[in-house]
Amino acid sequence: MVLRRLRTVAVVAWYALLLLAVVAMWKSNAPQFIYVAF
Amino acid sequence: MLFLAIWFWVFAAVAVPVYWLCPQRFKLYWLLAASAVFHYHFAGPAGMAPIIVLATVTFFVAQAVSGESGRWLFHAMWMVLVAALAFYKYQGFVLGNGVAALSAVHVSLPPWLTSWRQPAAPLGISFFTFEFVHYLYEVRVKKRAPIRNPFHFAVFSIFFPCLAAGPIKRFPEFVPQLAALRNPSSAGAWAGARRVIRGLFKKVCIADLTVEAIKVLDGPSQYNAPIVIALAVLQGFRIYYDFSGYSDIAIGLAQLLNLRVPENFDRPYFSTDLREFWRRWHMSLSTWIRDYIYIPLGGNRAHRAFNLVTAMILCGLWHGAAWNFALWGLYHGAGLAAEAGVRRLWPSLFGDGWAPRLFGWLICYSYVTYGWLLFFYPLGTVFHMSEGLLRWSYVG
Repeated sequence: MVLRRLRTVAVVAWYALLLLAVVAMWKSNAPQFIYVAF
Repeated sequence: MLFLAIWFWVFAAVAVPVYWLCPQRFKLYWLLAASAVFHYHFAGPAGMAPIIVLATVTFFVAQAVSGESGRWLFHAMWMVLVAALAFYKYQGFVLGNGVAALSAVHVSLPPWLTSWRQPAAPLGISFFTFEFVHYLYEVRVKKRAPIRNPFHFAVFSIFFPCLAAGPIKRFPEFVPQLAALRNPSSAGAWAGARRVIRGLFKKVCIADLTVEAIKVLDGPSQYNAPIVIALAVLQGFRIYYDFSGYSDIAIGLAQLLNLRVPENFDRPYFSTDLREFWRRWHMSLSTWIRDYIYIPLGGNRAHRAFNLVTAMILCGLWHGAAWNFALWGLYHGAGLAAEAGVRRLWPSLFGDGWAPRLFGWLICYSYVTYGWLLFFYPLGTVFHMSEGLLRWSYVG
């Protein structure tokens, strides 16, 4: 039970970290997705 | 900017929760309204008109061709769809090359022809025309029942997560879900949110960073092997993380609405042969090419090499109206045909042992990676890069 909760907390923290990295590196002039031009 | 626009995330922050709060009988209409708002914002009325016209005609034609009669109507309609795609996507390419060829033999051309400007292609035209051709083919040739509910067909046509760049949906899997729209479970919504975050991370933190690395390396006075290899590998990473990131966001958003759409990637760079690569790269397009071009051409039954090369050249041209895309398609078609020949003559080369698999992976990865040079650079530059592959010394 404790292990499962720890795992859930770790997963949430991992995705929060990914989201933080996305926000930190967000650029308003980022290149468009390649396939949208196709 | 689409999924990278702040507007989109404000839109999604309203559209998805309101969808969850909608009573079941209104969910379909909300999905349609949200998709129309998304489409209007990014394409404008002029960009919406072609899909509305083509979707309306396709919907009624499919009803007409589902019976015994209507063979000619079916052929006329898929040709109209292909012609619409060609009109918006290839007229500049065809006219440009035609004008250049006629000018070379001193044929005088009217000024309106030489100054012709191609209109902007409507958002997602390469994707929705393929979905409509698939729909007509399945109804006419595979005898599947057509979609009777126009609202179902409208959502199939402009479903906002997949509108701009796929994944290319299949109506027998997608449309039945619209008849019983329900909220996702909390686990399903969480899985969708994780997928969206992974997609954003792939795009913003890997693909866009790779673009910066490419900018640093690109444009030396003379290409040499280390630079060309590094550029090819980086372009391969860039396109994978860019498009699989896009696909993750689209699939994750659909999951948040409790809808399943096709997968696009399955770790393609781990493929040990080209056939496997094309089963794992842009899967919704490669299966479309297989089902609606390669198999109708004759598939494996007759003149297989010709069918492979033709299907892959068309696949290349689908990506854009330029000679380098055609050559990229020819390159992969020739590779697939050669691989099929080698497989027939020496099947042991494709065994399950670690040595053939490692050897196969090395050949396949190198072949695919060199192909990205054809995909991303004009032919003249690829020629200089290929010369540079023979040069290991550094020239600054």
